[in-house]
Amino acid sequence: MKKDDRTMNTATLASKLSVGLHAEQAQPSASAQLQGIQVSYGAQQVLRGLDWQLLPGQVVGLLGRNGGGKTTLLETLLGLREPNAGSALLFGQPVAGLDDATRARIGYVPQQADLFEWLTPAQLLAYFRSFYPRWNEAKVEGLMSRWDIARDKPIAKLSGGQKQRLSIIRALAHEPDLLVLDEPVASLDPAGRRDFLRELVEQVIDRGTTVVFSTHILSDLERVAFNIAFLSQGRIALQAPLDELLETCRLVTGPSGQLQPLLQQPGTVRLAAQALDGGRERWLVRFSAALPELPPVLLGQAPTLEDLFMELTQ
Amino acid sequence: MNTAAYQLILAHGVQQRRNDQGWRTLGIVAALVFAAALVVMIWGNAQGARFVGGNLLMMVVGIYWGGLVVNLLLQNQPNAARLVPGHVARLREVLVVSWLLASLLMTVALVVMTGAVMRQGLSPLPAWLVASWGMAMLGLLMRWPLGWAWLSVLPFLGVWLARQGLLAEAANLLQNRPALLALVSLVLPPLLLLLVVGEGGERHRQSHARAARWREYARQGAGAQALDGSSLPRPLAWFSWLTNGPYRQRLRQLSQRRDAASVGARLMLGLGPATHWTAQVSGAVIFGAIFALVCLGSIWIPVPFVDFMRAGSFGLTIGLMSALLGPLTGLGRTLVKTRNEQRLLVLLPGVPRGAALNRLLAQRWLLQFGLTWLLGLVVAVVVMGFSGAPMELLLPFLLAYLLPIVMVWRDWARLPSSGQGSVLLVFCVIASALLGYALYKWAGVPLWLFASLQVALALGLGCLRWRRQMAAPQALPVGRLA
Repeated sequence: MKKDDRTMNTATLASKLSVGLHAEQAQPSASAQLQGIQVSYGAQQVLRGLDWQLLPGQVVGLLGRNGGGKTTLLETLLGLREPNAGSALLFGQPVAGLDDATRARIGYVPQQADLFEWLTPAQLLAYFRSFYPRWNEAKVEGLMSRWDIARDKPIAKLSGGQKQRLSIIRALAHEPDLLVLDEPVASLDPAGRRDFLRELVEQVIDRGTTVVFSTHILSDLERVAFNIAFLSQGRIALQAPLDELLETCRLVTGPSGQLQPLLQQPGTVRLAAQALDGGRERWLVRFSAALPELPPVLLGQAPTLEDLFMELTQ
Repeated sequence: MNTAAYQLILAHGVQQRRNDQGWRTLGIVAALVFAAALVVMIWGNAQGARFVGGNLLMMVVGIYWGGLVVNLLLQNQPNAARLVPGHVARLREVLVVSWLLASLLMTVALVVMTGAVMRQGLSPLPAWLVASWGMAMLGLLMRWPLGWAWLSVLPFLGVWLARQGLLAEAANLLQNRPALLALVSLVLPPLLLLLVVGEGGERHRQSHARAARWREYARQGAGAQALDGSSLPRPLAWFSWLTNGPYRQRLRQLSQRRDAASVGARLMLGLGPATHWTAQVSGAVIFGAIFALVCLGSIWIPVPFVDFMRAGSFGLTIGLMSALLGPLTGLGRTLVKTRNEQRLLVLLPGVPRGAALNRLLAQRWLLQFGLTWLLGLVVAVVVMGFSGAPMELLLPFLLAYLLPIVMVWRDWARLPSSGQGSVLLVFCVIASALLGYALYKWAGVPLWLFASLQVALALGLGCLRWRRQMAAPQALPVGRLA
């Protein structure tokens, strides 16, 4: 077998390794399901036939390079952006025509925190409360006090972190079943991030809420996300539970000829490869559950999440 | 001499617009202006063409100069002023050279325009004096916007100076002493303009931040209600609190309601105060306050009140319609400003989607702006009736606002991020009004015919645009397909 035949590109991997990406594998109860999504800005194609599925209670961290299409993907998922092709369903409904009951099940924290700056936090929350059939006032009050947000100060005068926290409170207040967060902790300090993650774990994830959030802060993902999805070249290159990825993936360095036999083991897939000096290469390999004994000429190394990010999102 | 750096400074604003693909609007406006002048000239009256051409040239030069100063101020950042070699000097050179050019063009426009309406128009020298100081003042006001408040004193000061005979004396003095004239018109204005460009440091930093707040105020606050008043000087902060009142009150009322019938009204609140009808109430309050002050000032002028009103009827009508319909001409810009908020609004339960949302917006804006226009029309006609002001000048102006009303029906999803400039829309209104006046005055077209044509044009265009908005992608968030 030739080397290239056994090398899977990331798109092919998605179909093999990700959690139920294809329609035939889809479960009817999926919280969100995207199929064949294509989005372009003029000539620039951002999403290229992307398939993705979020199951109830799943917590997914979305990783991708800057400008890689994470925000576009999340906006398409919510029906805020019309795809050029493909279909998007939320709780079984096309996103372009969500009924009110379904919309009440969605919470969204956009990337921009500087929203509704002409209002005060109290006015903003009262305004949004008027639209939702369910609103947890006790939770709102608790978070407002705990996160020390002045109720009657204009939002324009809050700090970036406070605006972000307010945005999170607004999204959590109606206790959504699907929570979409676009870089929610970008403008929070470490204490704010810790509080937010604690809230996410204690109150949201424990309720069985489906959560998808994009971030560049990998340590936060390691703390919270049970699943990691890598967005690369307009597709979900790989989605898998984080623990499983860290256990089954290895960075293997050695002479090219010695690396090839690795692929002959059943269930072994090369995720990425990088040429080094002196005819050597470094591969990111995903093995089946049992890690093989590597020959002495090969150097095996357990990857960090950062390694996976660098290799899988280029 | 290396001119590349100067070209880059001058091209800054142009690049901004080109990056934003806003040239199409400019092209349409240019075509409109050209068509207006052409129509009048085809009617064979040079006087009419001069009137329209002179006015339009004045507007173009004024808008260009004002925009250029604002753009130079944007480039004049305190850190760059301190750290970038030669930046301040280059900005100043561009400013002064541009002032000279703008003043010369304005002089030409003044001579042409006054020659059309007066038996003996302004000769070049006084026109140059007015133009050079006018352009310099405009530049200074862009830097220190509070100065606009002092402008209201100018007419009264002018009357007082004229009555004391000081204006005539000054004119004589300048005519007899060319050196003094050169100093007053060629040296003093640019010297003052040099102050516009800051050199870095704490004062510059503070004034830059203040200017940014003012720009935000002007951009968001059609109706002066979008900005937190506490950041403004005390009298304006109080005024801002007052003008914020209607929006706050409406927000308080509607936040208590959860019924389906109020969803549309609640959605409109979420689009921001600057587009909301309460902005027009605030505009009316501001206009009323200024009008009351002007009326109070008229006590010191020994002219009967009716005559005073007649003389000021044009300014009164422009002020009234601008105050009432400011949110209309700035609609695109303010919607672009709130497009991130719109992402959350369209996810709210109860908010219609697709064509239903387009219909709701189209109906509400028609009602809001149509009724306001009618109100403005009635008030202006009553004032004209009371004072005996000439209808032929004001009616075309009032009717010209029909065009921006039907312009609110469009494919909002493809709105460019510049919001397709409100200044240009106002430019269209004024150009259309001038054309109407010129047609009446010099081409003998009756007012009723012009009014009928204007209404028919608005209706026809309105039908087309209504259909377009109904067939367009969902309007919100605006600009997502641009």
